[in-house]
Amino acid sequence: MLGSEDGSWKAWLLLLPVAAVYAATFVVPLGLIFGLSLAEFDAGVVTPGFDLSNYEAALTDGLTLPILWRTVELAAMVTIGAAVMGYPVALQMRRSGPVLRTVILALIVAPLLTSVIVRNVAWLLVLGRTGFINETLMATGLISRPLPLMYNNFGVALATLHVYLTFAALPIYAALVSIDRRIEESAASLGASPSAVFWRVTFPLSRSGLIAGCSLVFILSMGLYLTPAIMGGSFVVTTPMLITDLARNQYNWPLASAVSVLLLLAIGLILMATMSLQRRRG
Amino acid sequence: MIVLKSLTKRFGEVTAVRDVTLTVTPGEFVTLLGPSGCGKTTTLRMIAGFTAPTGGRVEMAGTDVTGRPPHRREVGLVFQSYALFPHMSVQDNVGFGLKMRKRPAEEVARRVDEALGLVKLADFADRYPSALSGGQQQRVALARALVIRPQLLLLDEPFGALDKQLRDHMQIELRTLQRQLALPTIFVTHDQGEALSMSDRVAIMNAGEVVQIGTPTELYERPRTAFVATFLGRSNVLELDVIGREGPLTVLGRAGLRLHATLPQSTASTRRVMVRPERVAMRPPDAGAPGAMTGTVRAANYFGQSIDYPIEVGAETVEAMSVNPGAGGFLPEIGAEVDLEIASDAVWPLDD
Repeated sequence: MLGSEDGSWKAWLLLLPVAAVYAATFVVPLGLIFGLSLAEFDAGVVTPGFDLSNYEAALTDGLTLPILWRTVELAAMVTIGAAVMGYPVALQMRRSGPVLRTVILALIVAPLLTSVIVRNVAWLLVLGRTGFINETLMATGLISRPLPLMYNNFGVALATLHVYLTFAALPIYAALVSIDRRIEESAASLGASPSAVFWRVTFPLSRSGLIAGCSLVFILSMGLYLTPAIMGGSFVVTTPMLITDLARNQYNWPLASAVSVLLLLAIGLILMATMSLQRRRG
Repeated sequence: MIVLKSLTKRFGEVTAVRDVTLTVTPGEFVTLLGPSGCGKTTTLRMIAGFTAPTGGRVEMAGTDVTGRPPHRREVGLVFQSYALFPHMSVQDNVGFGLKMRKRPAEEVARRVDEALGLVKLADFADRYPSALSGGQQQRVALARALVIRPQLLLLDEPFGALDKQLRDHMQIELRTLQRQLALPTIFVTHDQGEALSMSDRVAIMNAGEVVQIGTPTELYERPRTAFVATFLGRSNVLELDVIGREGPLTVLGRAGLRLHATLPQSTASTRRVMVRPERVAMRPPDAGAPGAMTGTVRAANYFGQSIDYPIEVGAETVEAMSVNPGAGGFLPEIGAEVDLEIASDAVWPLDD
């Protein structure tokens, strides 16, 4: 068909539109940012060049790296949370009949259909000092002072997890449903208890889905901007917020570009490390 | 000894398995044979413990195991899809059951070697299932089930995915191994040829019930119902009028058909009987022969070793099968008249 030898170039033709869109919106801007990160910046004037001073500034200013670290920390929290909570959701979806499965799917996809602003304001009402949780706990006398549920990594991670859970749960679910149940039944008939069946058969066979889901959530979480801005007050600053500040308030596009490249590098390195770990164990 | 007592499974209003009672004696190879949807797989799943029966019991070695989960039943299971662990090497697949039983590593290694030797895969211990052919995967699945020395071997259409030659070969190999280990075995299949050639006994299932249990010979020669007669091998099921008696024989007939049969005394005016096609003999027409039954050859279906002839006799069509007689033998042309001869012991009365 499309892959046959004389027709193969036609299949490539079909990729032209997507290639054009990617080139215009991704490859070219990325190249520009990379070029800009090597430019000189002095008192608001950008001079094109080949200069590593922006990187030097970013790595030594005592601000960029701690923020990057905090961003990684936050993304890791969200990723771990999404994996730990998404896996049981995926398991349950696999075990359920079509009706319950659709209900679960609707529930975990619903946050994606809600505007980010509405969603975060709703979280304020739940997690704030005078929010639902603190008010309830105070009224019952369980606590005497409001718990710090937001304006910290916890609040940001929770509000993010709420949306990104789907991106972990769905790839895990896809991996789980592709496992032949008879493989698990064989394990049981060979003497494996339900927990042994899970840990020795089901879990290892779903690992590709888990890795895919975690990678997705991690990448998305490294780009967090709006949620920390709302849920973190000024207490949680992520790298994307820093980049925006550099570009929009300080007009320092070269430094903003350099930090962007560093963020991209950090994501790439962490993903590569995870993949190689996975390959060695698989 | 494995005993199923009135095993029943209802799913809501639907009864998938009704009152299945069956005993598998030590070393016996019993087949559950039936069309798809007849309840044979549900029965197997209840024996393995994956499906809880709504009635009846499963006993193994005198113990009621009905409520026992699968992992505590000592049943070796082989599926049509092999269901090997794709993330484990062949030896880890085979050793899995022993590791679950917490056997010492040295014993696991020895018994895995033994089991792989048994299925002639000793050189494949380090391979992964994806690097094996279908037949090899099948043997790994078998070794994995045998290594735990189960009380019962359960085979769920294990040859369904193999091509014909390999299937024939594996059938012989499995049966030899099963005899050698004297391992009670329940084999589920819808393939009647497989059932006849491999089993000590066959239980034929239809619509959730066991309709007849017996040795392959008993079932083939003396089926109780038209379902069994037609499901196991091919047969002519004929509805005939009782015409009279000639000595110990009952004469049956309808529109040109005349059969003599040994039937129990009965006042019924019609009887349903079965005749296997290979017991219908054909001869060149001989107008002089007394009581000859003449028919017209409607078609000739050539299979090499045998030829099938649908022959029209009066309003009925009788299937006759001739073993290829070679040159010089009698092979009637389509449209030709032939005399049919059916011995009285080839006519078997059916209950329904």
